[in-house]
Amino acid sequence: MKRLTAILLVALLLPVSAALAAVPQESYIDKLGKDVVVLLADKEMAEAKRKAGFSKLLTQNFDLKTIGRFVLGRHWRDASDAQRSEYQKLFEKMVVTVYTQRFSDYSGQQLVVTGSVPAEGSQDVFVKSQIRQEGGPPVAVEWRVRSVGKGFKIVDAVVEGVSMSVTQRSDFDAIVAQGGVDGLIAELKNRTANPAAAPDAIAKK
Amino acid sequence: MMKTIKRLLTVAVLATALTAPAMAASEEIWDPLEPVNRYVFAFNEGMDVVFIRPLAEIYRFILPDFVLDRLEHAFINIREPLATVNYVLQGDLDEASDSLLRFVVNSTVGLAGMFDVMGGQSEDKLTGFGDTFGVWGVGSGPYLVLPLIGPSSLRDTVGLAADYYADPVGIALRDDTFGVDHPDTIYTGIQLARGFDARSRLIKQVDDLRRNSLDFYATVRSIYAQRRAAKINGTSGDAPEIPDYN
Repeated sequence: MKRLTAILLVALLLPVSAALAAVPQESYIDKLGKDVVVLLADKEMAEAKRKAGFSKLLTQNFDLKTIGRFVLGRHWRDASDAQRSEYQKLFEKMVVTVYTQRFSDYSGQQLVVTGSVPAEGSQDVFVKSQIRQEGGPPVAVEWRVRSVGKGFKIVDAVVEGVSMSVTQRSDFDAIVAQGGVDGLIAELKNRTANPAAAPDAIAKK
Repeated sequence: MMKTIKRLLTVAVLATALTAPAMAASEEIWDPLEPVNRYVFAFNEGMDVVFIRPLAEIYRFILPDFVLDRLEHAFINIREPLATVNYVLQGDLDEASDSLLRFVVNSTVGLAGMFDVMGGQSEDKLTGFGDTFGVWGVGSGPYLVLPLIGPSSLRDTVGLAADYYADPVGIALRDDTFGVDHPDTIYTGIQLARGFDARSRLIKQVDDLRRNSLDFYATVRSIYAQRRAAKINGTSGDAPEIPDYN
């Protein structure tokens, strides 16, 4: 009986581990998801330490230079070197602030890798995953993973068909259309300096 | 009356098809009416912040999760017949028969759709005329913000009107054999309740986007266009290229 259980267990686990081993990008996302959960679920850890750890995972695993440049879109060309470097600095700061806050109310969600497809016309791989949560339907997230040097970096996350990078680009584009690149830099400065006091129009909580 | 509406629908859909440039999610969104749209958007935001969102919070606070779940299921179920019709029009007979079977079983054994006895019921599986026109190759046309309803496009607005008149549930309500008083009011009421219920399930997400967008109008417009493209084209495998700048 014990032996049967063992065989069954192996048979159950085999396809999973085989699938994960086949595509290194999948195991990369799988591990990252587990690292994030370990960090967020640790109730003993001091808030500041958790934030620092999360911010480190974020900046190490997301190619924020590439994302930042993509997000500025066609306005990158018009920007001076000084504007570019200041924008990149502020963009990184904004991403860290926004995502640290987004993940601060973690309540047991788990990331499950479900497969992957090559991204058309590039070396990138879309790793498909589901964020499973209690009391709600799972959320489909696809991670666009790029080989950088010897490791991997994420260049986009597509949540239920919505690319975070494209959405952010539309958002920034509207601000640049109103106040130019300097207007965007000023707005980012304002937001990152004091995120709690962000002038979110009429939607004050 | 019905004939005029049908003719108007055909003209509108054709006009959209002829004038709409092909639009991928990565392209800029065609928004020639932006000043008007922003005005309506601001109105919707005001209504949401002052009335709808607070009511939605009370609604979710008062009703137990069990009741909220039953309502969510019933609101999906009442939309299945429209989905069945549209799956047929899209040529997807598998989904059409699944949807029909779900409606029949869930409406009876599942007590007016409050329980998904059949399994597989989901908001994502619902489909309407906006999707059908998209599957037929009609471009989205200009982006539109509708009062109270929110983000849409010319194609999807025509789709909404078609949904209203061609939904088998509405047709049954209006049918003389059932002798329902004020069928249009009842049908509209159901749709409004459905919309309110859907809004109430997005309180956190909308709050988050409002707080973190620099231009909330532009963010919502982008999300709408991407969601529609993903729904109509199936997968998000055709997400935009992120170039390698190094």
